[in-house]
Amino acid sequence: MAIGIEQWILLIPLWLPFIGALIIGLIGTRIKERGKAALGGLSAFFFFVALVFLILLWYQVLGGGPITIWYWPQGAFDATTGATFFYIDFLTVYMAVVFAFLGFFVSIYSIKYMEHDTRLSLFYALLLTLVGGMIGVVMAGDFFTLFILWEVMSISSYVLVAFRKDEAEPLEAGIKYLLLSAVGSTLILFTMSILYGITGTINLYAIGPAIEALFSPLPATTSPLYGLVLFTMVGLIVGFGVKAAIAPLSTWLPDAHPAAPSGISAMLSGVVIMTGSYAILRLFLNFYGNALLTTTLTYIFTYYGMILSWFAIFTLIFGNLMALTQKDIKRLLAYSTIVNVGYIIFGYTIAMMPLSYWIPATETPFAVEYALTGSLFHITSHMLAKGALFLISGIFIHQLHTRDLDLLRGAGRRMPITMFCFTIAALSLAGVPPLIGFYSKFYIIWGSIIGGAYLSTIILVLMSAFSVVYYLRMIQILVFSEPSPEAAAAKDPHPLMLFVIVVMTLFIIGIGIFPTFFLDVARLAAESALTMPII
Amino acid sequence: MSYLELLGVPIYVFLIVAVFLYAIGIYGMATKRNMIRFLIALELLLDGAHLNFITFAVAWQGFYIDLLAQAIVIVSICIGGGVIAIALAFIIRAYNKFGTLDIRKLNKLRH
Repeated sequence: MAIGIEQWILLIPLWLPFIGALIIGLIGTRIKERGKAALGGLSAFFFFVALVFLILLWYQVLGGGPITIWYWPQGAFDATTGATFFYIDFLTVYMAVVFAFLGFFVSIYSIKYMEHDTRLSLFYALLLTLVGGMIGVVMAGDFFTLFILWEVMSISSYVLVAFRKDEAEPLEAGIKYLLLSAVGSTLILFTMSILYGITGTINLYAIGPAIEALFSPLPATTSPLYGLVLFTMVGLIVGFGVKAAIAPLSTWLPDAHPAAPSGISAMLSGVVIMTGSYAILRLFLNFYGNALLTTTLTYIFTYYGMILSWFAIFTLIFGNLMALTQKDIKRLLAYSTIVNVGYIIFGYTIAMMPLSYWIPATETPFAVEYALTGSLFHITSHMLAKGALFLISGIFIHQLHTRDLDLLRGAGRRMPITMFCFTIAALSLAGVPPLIGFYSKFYIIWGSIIGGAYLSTIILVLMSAFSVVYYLRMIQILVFSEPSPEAAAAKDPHPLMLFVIVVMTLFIIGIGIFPTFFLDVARLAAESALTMPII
Repeated sequence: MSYLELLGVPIYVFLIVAVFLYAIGIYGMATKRNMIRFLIALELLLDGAHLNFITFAVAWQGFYIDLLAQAIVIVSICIGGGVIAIALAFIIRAYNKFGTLDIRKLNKLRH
């Protein structure tokens, strides 16, 4: 389908945030000091409309299957040369809903949290372009679209990290984040240029079959292009891994996430890094998944999933060990984000391993499906819990002007509702049964056990138990210690901030008690990730 | 084996130059301390990727050039300009604040 009125309506979640950013930018310069709260409300309104249309889009995909929207009229170009289009399936909509959901709550939260800041129109405009870029990344069907929107997202996040530009810390974190992330982007561009050179297309759904066709007549190792394809794998992992914060590449994360304003920390930690992991999932399954199924390919080619899974395990261990010693609450949460990236990437890699080599072929689909469902569900669960935790740490900063856990000692006693939400969110991340975090981890572990990845699963479970230590330590410091003099002044914050974290906590509890519907949604997303459409 | 030619030069020459540019960029990123030099290295990284795209655009289509690859390069140049502009803004602020362009002196965040 080329772009017509109907397609513009389907694409509302993509362009509405950008229109919203434009509107907020335009009226923001004229608005008086008292009207600043209106900007946050306006931004929340745009996110809400985008969310509504995303849910309508979900029903559209449920009824009519995946949607392909071409830039051009049909027949103007073919699917290889003029491959610029959007591809919308369950995985796309699922991720986009997660992004817009957190964007909505962060907008409401920031009305009060950012009340003493200036340049708020810039803040909300960038928040909208950040989410618009992310929704675009998951909707993109070709590299051209993906790259533009990827950079829109990246540039917005660079500026948002260094938003409080008069302080030294955000500035330094912003510079480090920008330099590392920009190198990652150039590596993605370079890798895609090589893939384009090998296959002749930038259509993300045509590159995989092209690679397969390239290697099918002869054993792969004798092809001169074998090395190049291996290089593209490494390039994509490293390029997207910088954004997704896989362990050796995640040095920017513990600097950038605490330095940003708390709402932005929640966005970065809850959803922005998930676009990186989304890209790894989509591109790897699409590009190399087909080649994996044909048995002519051998050796490293088939084992890239295992290599990536050990990187995920390394990410887990690294994040856990670093989180244990932190004194800064936001820095601790940032390291815990690295841990959760490990879980998510590990679940993905079960789908990328040649499982039928060591388990019965009848079992393979179950293992893949459970692990992927768990991973995608963990994106939601991590978004809710980590988002809530970062927003609550923002409340501590707002009330007590400190992030130091020693100074926050006992602060939770003075703010019971906040602390209740904090405890629920932390327990959910730790994986305590009636909460949402339990189900996501459970499905990842279940899938990997069926898949026969025993050793890495054992390490994963041990690390999961290990991570309980620092979640409980946070709760222990905040509640069960004698209040420090600084913490005595704490009280529950403005109702608007409370509203946000309470609603997120209710989601954590509610989905935990009634997980069936949401698990089904995640399973549909996992299935659409595994189907490779022919475009 | 004959190679495709671009302006009378075999096409692999362009690819080698592209890889070379990228390697120089990585070298600059890895060894330099001055933030402005970082940005120059970043530009080189981008240029390597752009040259690769342009070269392959010719290689695939033979008689004419794949316009989509060219479009990617043009858009990417614009985006690269935006990223560099933001980086320069950060660096100017950092210079005013820290009084240095050395990235290793920016260590308020080391714990």
